[in-house]
This record gives sequence, structure tokens and C-alpha cells, in this order.
Amino acid sequence: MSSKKYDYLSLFIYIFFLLIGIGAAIYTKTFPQFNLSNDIGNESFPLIFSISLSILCLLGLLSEIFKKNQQNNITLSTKQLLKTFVAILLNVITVFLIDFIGFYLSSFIFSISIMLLLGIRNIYILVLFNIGLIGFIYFLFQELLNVPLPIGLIFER
Amino acid sequence: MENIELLLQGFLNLFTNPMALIFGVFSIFLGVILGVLPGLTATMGVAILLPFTFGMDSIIALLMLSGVFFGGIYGGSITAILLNIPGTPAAAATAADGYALTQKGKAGLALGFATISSVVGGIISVIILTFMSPILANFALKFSAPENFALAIFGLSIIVGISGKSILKGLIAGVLGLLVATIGLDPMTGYPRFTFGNNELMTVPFIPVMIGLFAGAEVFKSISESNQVQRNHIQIPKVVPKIKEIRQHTPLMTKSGLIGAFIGSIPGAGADIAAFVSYNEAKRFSKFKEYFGLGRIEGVISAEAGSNGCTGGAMLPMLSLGIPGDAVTAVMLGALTLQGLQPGPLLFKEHSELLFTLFAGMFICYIALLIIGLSSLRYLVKLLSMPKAYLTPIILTLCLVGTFAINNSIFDIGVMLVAGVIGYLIRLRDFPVSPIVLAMIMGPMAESNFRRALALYNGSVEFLYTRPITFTLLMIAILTLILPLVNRLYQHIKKLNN
Repeated sequence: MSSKKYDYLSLFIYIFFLLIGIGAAIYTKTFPQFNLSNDIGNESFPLIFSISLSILCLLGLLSEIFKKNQQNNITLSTKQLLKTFVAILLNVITVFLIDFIGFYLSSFIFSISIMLLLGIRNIYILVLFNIGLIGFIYFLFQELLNVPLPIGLIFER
Repeated sequence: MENIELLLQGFLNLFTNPMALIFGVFSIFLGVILGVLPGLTATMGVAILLPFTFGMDSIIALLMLSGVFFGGIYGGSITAILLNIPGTPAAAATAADGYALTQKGKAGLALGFATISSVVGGIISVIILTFMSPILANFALKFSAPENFALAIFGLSIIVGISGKSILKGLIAGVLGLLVATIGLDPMTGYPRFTFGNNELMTVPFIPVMIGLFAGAEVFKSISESNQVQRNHIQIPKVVPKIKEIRQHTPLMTKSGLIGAFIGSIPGAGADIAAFVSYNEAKRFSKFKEYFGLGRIEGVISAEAGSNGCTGGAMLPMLSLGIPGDAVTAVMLGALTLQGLQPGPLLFKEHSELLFTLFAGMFICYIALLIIGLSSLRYLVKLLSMPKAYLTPIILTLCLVGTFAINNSIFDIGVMLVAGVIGYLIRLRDFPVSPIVLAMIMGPMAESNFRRALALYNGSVEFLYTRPITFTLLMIAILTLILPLVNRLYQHIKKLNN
């Protein structure tokens, strides 16, 4: 007996957005009602959008479940997925570090980490390239555009 | 006739004031760089430059701001075409076909036509600004809340056209964008919706979401690919298209430029709306509509001519009525005030020489854009062809700093990251991201104007069918939505019968 293979990523996407739609629709019920005769209220448009999203996602989910032939979807190997996951994690860590060690240092570390992840191993290239990159950002944003970037709580003391 | 004389006098004034020309050309260059970098927009460039113009000669000041505006709108298309990362929201419409052309080895063609279309669209808008200001300004005044609502609905109907293979996935993306756009303060009551007590969510973080969906998602996708240390070979044998090809597409450039100028003249509608509407109109009348999004040069031409056509159009209500056409011209209103000029009907009477010198300068700025654009493309392509192991950290770092620079907010970086992850995952399963961006632009416009119209008509919806412009736009929107669906159904039935 052959078992049908589902595309779990597609199912996840539909279910994720379906839950967002349902959640948003329920949450609009907490909005205060102003009951003005010349306005439909602040909950109407979000409610319409969230219900529409839920219905569309339900249709997508059903079409995915009852699909006869699976499309040639992009499938990634474990190694590829791991690489992307690590890159995302590095981004998240950088965002948290900016407050503490400042933008320039955290971006410097982040950029080196990404280059290591992508296969650059030469220490001179790693350091010099990123000094150049951070220097360019400093000149463009801090000097030219007058956009102050955070220097970090540690250095502010 | 009088306008032509004034314009010629304007050119003469400029040639006797070479500093104005030098600053104008420099600002084009600056605008292009700002447009290329994700997170930095034409609006931001004009806003940052504004305080520096205080104390400058009026012509130099206004020309510099205009130059950054023009260059910024054009610059966003370069990375949109080469990397599928629009530098500005308006370039999101260019990315679809532009990047597809790069993947087919036609980056040169796409970039060349993007440059030429931007210049043609821009020049058309300046011509309209110069000669038709009073007429178009009067027509733009007819646009009230009902008409703006209908225009937004018309813009939203484009979602079906940019959905790609699956209309359902496109609609899901579009409605998701509409829902996300409701985050923040309610436009009528000021109630904070979906903010969960977080002050950072009081306004919709549109630019971080856009950067995340395009740049973040594209970078995450490229990280998962192999061959990161090898050079990308983007071949551009030539960037200047043949005269025959330019002549062939001139009617489309002209039409898109006119659409852009018209949309720009409507207060509140900017280059992003103009780009998508021009794109959709080009697709509607094309014999190859099913190939749009897969690498049709007409997609690039229409989007670029439309977005740059908006520049002069947006200045039209600003100069003649004192009402800004879009966010950039809202900032430029401040520049006029700083220079001691009162925008409005009297500006043309009392400062006609200055205005026409400005218009002459704008023509020259666009010619400069053509030269700068075409001559620098090869070097830009060489730069962007570097191995991904070098390009990826540059893009990610610029995304981080560009996103932060918008509101000096680390929260925005978090939003960009979340949008990047979502964009990456949904693109793996062919969900288009352009509808999300389009919906985030049009959704608030549709809601606020609908509710404003409702208030104007005391709760009655008769404005939907009693106002001719509103009714016409809504009918076109309905047809735009329904016809592709009917067409797909017809093709499906035909396939089943065969």
C-alpha cells in the first residue's frame, strides 16, 4: 500500500498563516466599540482581512492535502538548512549584542562569522575586509549622513 | 509660448550659474548611492540633506533636493535587477522581471533599459510639470477621499497580476500584507491595534518588513547555496540597447511616464504606487502577459518609467497648490519654506523665473542621470559580481544599519529579521512577496480613505457609485481582479475538454 507524501513545509506555511488569521480575528473582539453612525469601527478592516486570510489558507491547506501530484518543490539538504539556520542565529545574536558592545563591534564579529560560515578561512582577508566594511559604514552613516550608531553600554560607561 | 520663453531663460540662468549644475549632478550621484543601499530611500536622502540647504542659494538648494529624489528613485532598480533586492519600495515592481532577466544572462539589457526608461519617464514628468501644472493641479483637486479609496482598491487589484503561478498564494500574500498593515494606530480613532502594549508598533514598520522580505530572504536563500567563494559571472556585454529596440519601446515608456506623472500628482500617492500601476497596465495590454514576472523587458521599462514619471508629478501639487504629492515632496515643502518661498498658486506668478530655472535644471539632472547611470553600470556590476562569501556579509550588514537608521530602533532590526525568515520560507514554496509589499502600501490608504469618505457621507456608501472617478476606478479594479481568474478557469476547462 503506497502512502502519500505531503509537502510538510507547505502545510506548515498554510497552518501558520491560518493560525495568524484566526488569532487576529479573535483579538479584534478586544478592540473597543465606538458605535459611531458614520464609521465602521476600528475592528472592521482587521476582521475582514483576518477572516479572508483564514479562508484562503484553509483553501490552500485543503488543496495541498488533496493534491494528486506533488510539484517539483525546492528541497534542501540538512547541511544547507543548517547553514541557513546558523546564519539566522548569528543575526539574532548580533541584534542582542548591539545594545551591549555597540553596532560597529557586533557587526565586525557578525560579518567575520558569516564569512567563516561561507568558507573564507584566510585570517588576513577576514580582518582587513571587515575593517574596510565597518570603516565604510562609519564614514557613510556617521560622517556623511549624520546617523549616530549605538556604541554600546559597555563603552558608554 | 510664454512658458517656453521662461524655460529657455531658465537654461540660460543655469549656464551662467555653473555651481547649480555641479551640485545638481553631484546630488544625482548621491541619490543613486542612497537608492542602491537597502534601507535608505529617496525620502531619507532628501530629509538628511534638507538642513544643509539652509543658507544655500535657492536654485542650488532645490536642485540638490530634486537630484537626490531622482537619483534615489532610479538607484533602487540597480540592486533590484542584479540581486533581487530592491533598494527602494518603488523598485519592488522592477525586481520581478529585472532579476529574472539577470538570471537569463540579460542583466545588461535590463539595466540599460531601466536607466533609459527612468530618464524618459522623468523627463516626461518634468515636461508636464513645466507646461501643464494648472490643468493637472485642477484635476488632482477632484481627488478626495472616495477617489483615493478607489485608487487604492485599483492598486490592490494588481495583486492578481503579480501573483505569478498561483493566484491563491498571491492572494494569501496580499491579504497577509493587508493584515500586517493594520498594526499600529487606527487612522480614525487612534486606537492602537495589534501593538500588544509595545510603543515600537505604533506605526507599521514598512521599510524593515520590505528589507527583510526581499534582501533578508534573498541572502538567506543564497547562504544555503553552494559555491560561495566563486565569483558570480554576471555578463553584461553592453548596457546601451540598440536604437531600434529603444524606438520599439518608446510608446510604453511614454505611457508609463504619463501614468507615473498622473499618479504622482495625486496627493498621497507616490513612486511605489506609480511603479506597480504602470507595471500592471503594461501587462494588461501586452500580448505576452503570461510571461510577465518571468523576464519580460516591458516589466522593467514600465515600472521604471512609472516610478520616475512620478517625480515631476509629485512636485506639481506641491508647487501649484502647496499640497505635497508624496513623502519626498512633503519634505521639500520644508525646503521651500526655508528658502522663503510660499508654495501655492502665487508661486508661479511671483517667482516664475526661479521656478523655470529649477525646471530647466531638472531636465539637465535627468540627462546627467542617463550619463552617470549608463557609464557606471559596468563598474557596479563588477562590484556586485564578487563572490557571495564577500557580498553576503556586506548586504546583511548594510541591511542591519539601513534598518536601524530609519528610526534609530533595534526593534526594527528584529522586525526585519522576522520578515526575512518568513520571506525565505514562503519563497521556498513559490509564495510571491511583492503582493505583501503592495498590500502594505495600499491597505492603509484604502482603509483611511474609505472611513474618511464614510464620515463625509454620514455613514452612507453612495460615494462608491455616485462619483464618476470613484466608480470608474472601482469597475476597472473589479475587472482587473476577475478577468485573470476567469481566464485561468477557461484555460483549465479547455485543458479538461482536450
